Amino acid sequence: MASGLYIHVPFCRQKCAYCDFYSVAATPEAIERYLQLVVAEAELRGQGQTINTVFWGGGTPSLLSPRQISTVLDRVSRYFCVAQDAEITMEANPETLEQQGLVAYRQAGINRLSLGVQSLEPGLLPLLGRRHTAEQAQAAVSWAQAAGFSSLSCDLIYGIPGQTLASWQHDVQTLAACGVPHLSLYCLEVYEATPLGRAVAGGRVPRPDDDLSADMYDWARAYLPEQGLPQYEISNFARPGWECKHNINYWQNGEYLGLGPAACSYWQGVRDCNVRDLAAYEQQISCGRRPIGSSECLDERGAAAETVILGLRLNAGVDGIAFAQRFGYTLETAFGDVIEELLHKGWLVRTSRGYALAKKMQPIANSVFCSFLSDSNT
Amino acid sequence: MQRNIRNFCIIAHIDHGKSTLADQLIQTTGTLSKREMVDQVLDNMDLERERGITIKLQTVRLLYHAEDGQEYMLNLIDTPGHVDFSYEVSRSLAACEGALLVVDAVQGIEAQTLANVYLALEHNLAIIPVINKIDLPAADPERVKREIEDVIGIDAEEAILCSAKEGIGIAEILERIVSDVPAASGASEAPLRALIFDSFYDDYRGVITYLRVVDGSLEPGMKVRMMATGKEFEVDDVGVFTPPMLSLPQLTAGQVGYMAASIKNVKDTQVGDTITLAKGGAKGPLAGYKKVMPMVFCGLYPVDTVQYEDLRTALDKLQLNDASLVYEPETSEALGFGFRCGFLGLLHMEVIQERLEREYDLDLITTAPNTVYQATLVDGSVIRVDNPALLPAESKLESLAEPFVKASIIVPSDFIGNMMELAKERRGIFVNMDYLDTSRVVLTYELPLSEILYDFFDQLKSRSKGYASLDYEVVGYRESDLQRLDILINGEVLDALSTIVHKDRAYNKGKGLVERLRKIIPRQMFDVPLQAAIGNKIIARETVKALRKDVLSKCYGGDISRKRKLLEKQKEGKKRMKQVGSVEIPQEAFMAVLKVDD
Repeated sequence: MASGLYIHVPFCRQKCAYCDFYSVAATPEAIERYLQLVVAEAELRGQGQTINTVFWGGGTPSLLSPRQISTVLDRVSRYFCVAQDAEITMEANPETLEQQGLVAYRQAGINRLSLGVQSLEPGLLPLLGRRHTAEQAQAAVSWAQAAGFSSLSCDLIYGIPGQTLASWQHDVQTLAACGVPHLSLYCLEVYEATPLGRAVAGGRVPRPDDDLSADMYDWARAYLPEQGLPQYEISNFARPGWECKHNINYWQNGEYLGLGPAACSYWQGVRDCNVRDLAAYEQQISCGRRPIGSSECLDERGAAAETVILGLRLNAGVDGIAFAQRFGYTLETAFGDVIEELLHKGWLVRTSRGYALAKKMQPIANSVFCSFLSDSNT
Repeated sequence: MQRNIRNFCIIAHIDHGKSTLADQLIQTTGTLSKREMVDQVLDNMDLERERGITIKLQTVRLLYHAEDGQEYMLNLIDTPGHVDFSYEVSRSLAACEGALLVVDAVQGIEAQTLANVYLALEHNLAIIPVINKIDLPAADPERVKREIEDVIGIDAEEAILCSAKEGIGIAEILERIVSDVPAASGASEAPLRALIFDSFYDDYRGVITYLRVVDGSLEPGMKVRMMATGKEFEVDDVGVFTPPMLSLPQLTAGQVGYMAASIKNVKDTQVGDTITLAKGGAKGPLAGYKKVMPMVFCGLYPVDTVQYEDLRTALDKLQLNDASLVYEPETSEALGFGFRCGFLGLLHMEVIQERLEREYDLDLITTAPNTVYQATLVDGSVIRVDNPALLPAESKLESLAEPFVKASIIVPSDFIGNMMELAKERRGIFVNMDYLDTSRVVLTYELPLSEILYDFFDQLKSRSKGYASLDYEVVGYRESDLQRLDILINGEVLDALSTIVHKDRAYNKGKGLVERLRKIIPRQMFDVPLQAAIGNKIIARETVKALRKDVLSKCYGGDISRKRKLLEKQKEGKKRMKQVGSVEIPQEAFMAVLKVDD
C-alpha cells in the first residue's frame, strides 16, 4: 500500500473567516526557524520509509519560497525514501503567486498544485476573508498551466451566505472551461470559533441554507461528469487519471506521516496529532522529542469501521477484497447486519469489489457512516 | 422556660429579602459565626440557592440575650415564598405565635404577601411589620406604611425600618419578637401533643420529623403514637436545629425541633398529624391541615427505557421528602413506560424534574403539563381525567369541567388595561377591582387553571414591566367547552402530545403547535408530515422536509480522528432522541405546547 507524507505550513498572511485550521502570522525569521524544525522532526521520524505522495498543506504553503521548498524536500529525502514518481502537491493561495515563481516551484519538485480559489464572485471573497480577487484567481490558473502544472486542482466553496445558484454555476463552469483537470467542491462549514461563525451566531450574516447548498451540489455532480470530470469522492471531481493520490490514500485508510504543528499521522495502527502551538512544537523538537499532542491506538474493530467509513466516501466504494486481505476477515463478517440493513434501505449498493454509497446518500452520508460506529465507541 | 420561648416565621414576597434577614438574625444572635455562614443558610438545597427561592421548610433555634437581661429561645420557622407552595406556608404558620411581615420599601405589598398575611391573621398570629431595604435610594417607607394600614388593616405606625443587607434594624427586630410575639402556648403538664409540620428522610436514621411540642414533653425512650395513622414508635433522639441538628435530653411544651424514631416509611408520619404518648395519650388531636390535591399533572418518561426502574426508585426517594408529590405508572404508545406525576404547581413540577435529572442522573422526557379534568359520561358517571390521551371519545361524553382559580393581581394602575386584556385572552371572568392607594390596584379574576399553567406569569410580568404580582387559589370545577387536540406525526397519533383545549382556541393552538414542532423536529431521511386533529378532522398541517445535507465534506489534512469524533457526537445526539415509529423526536418536542402562542 502507498504511504503519504503531509507537511503542515502554519503560516497565513491573514486568517480566512471560515477557517479553523492552525495558522499564525508569517515573518521571514519565523518561517526559517520553522523549516529547520520540520527537518529536525523528519530526522526524528524518518527510518527510510517509502513515501509515494507528499502534500504541502496549511496554512499557506505558497508563503514559502521555491528555494525553501526545494531545500526541505532535499533534506527530508535523507530520512525517507521518496519514490521517483512521487506525487508532490502544494496548496497555494492565488494572491501569493507570480508567474515566475510558479516555474520555480515546479523546478523545486512540486508537480501538483492545489489552488484555493474558493469563489470567483467578487462580493463573496471578502465575506470569506480571502485576500485575492477573482481576476487574481483566474490569472493564477493560467500561469500555473503555463508553468507546466498539468496536474492542477482548484478548491471551490458552495453554500456561502449570499451565494446564488447562478453564481455558483458560473464559478464551476469557468474553471471547467479553463481545462482544470481536478476540482474539489467543499460545502461551507460554519464553525462557532471562527469570525464567520460569530457573525452568523450574531445574526450579522445569514446562516447558509441547506436546501440551496444541496441544489448547488446536485447541479455540480450532474454537470461536471458531462464536462469530462467524473466524481470520484464525495467532494472531488477529476479527469480520469488526475485524481489526488495523496487524498485517495486517506480514503483507503492507508498510512501517512505528518510533519509540522497540528499535523496528523497514521502509522502502524497509531493515530497521533502534533501539538497545534508553534512554540510548544519548537520546545518539544528542541528537546529531541516527538511533538505529540494527542494519540490514539485504534483497536481492530475501530480500524475496520474507519476503513469502511472512509472507503464509502469514494465513488468506487470500499474494496472488500483489500479489506479481507488487510483484516483477515470479510466485510460481511464484520458488518453483515449493518450492510444488510443499509442495502435493504437502498442506502448502499453492491460493487464488483465491495460496496458503495447510493448516489442519493452522498450529500447525507453521515447517517450511513454512523451506523458503522460501534456503540462502545460512542 | 416556656415563657421565654417565641415561635415565629417570616412572611415576604420573593426577593423582598427574607433569606438575608434570616441570615442576619442567625448571625446577630451568634447562632452561627460569620465563618460558618454559607450565604443564606436556610436555603440549603442547591436548586433553592440557584433560584433564590425557598421550597423546603427549614427551622432554626436562636438563643438571644434580650435587653431585659433574660435569655430567650427564638424559633424561626421558614416559609416558602412561591404560590405553588402556599400549602406549606399554612403548615409553618400553625407552629408559630407570631410573624415578621417583611415588605420591600420600594416595591410595597405584593399579591403573595397579601395572601400569606391573611393566612397568618386566620391563625391569630401577632404580626410585626418590617419595612426592608430602606437603604435603597428609591425607598419610600411612609408610602409602604400607609399601604400596610390601608390594605391589610394593621397598625404600621410601629413598623420597623430595616436593611437586612446593611444590618440596620436587626437589634430592634429581635427585641420586638420578645415583646410582641406571645410566649409559646401549651400545657406543659398535659399529655404530650406535638404537631408534625414537615419531615425528611435520612438514609441512616429514617424519617426525621419537624415538630412543635404543644403540650407535655418529648424525650428519647418514650413510646409515641401517630394519632392519624395509629402507628407507634420508640423515640431515638430529639433536638433542635442550630441549623445543624443538636440532640437535647428533651423537648418541652412550646419548643420546636425534631424527632427521630427509626421510622422507615414517610407515610407513617403525615404532615399535620399529632404525636402523642402510646399509653395515656391525649384525647383528641391538634387541628391538622387539609390534604392538598395536586392540580398539575404531566408524564415523566425515561429517554432510555432501561432507566424506568431507576426513575421509580428516584420518585420513591423524592416522595419521602415531599408528600405533595404523587405518581402512578402509565404507559404511552409513543414513549413506553413512565409515570403520570401530580404537582402543586408548575414551579413544583420544574423543581422535581430538575432534581430527578440532577441528583439521580436521569435523562427524562417530560410531557406538557395539564390540569385534572372532570368528565361526565353519558351514563351519568363522573371520572377524573389527568391525562388528555385518556379522555373518553366525544360520543361517550356528556360534559367536561375544568378547575377554576380565583386570582389576585396587584399592579400599578397604569397597567390595568394590559392586565384586563391578558385576563380576557385567558378566558378570565372579571370579579372585582380595588384601589390599594392612588396608584396601585388589586384585580380579582376567575380563570381556568389551565390558562395560567403555561406562560401566564411571564406574560403578567412582561406586560406590566415586571410590576404585577400574582396569587391564586383553586375555587372549584366549572363546565367548559373543551375538546381534545391530537397531533399526528407521520400519520400516527403521538399520544404524549395530546392536549385538552377550549373549542374557540383549538384551531390556533393546533396550527401553532405543528409550526413549533416543525422547527424542533430535525430533518429526517424522508418528508415527515405533522398534523393537528380534532377527532378525525385535520385542522392544521406542516411538513418537516427530508434531510438534504449531512456529510462532512473536508479532509482535514488527514485528521481522521477528529472526523470520527464528530460522527460519534452525532450518533450520541441521535441516541438522546426518542424514536417514535421511524421518526426521531427530540425531548423538547414534548414540551412544545408550552411555547405556543395562540
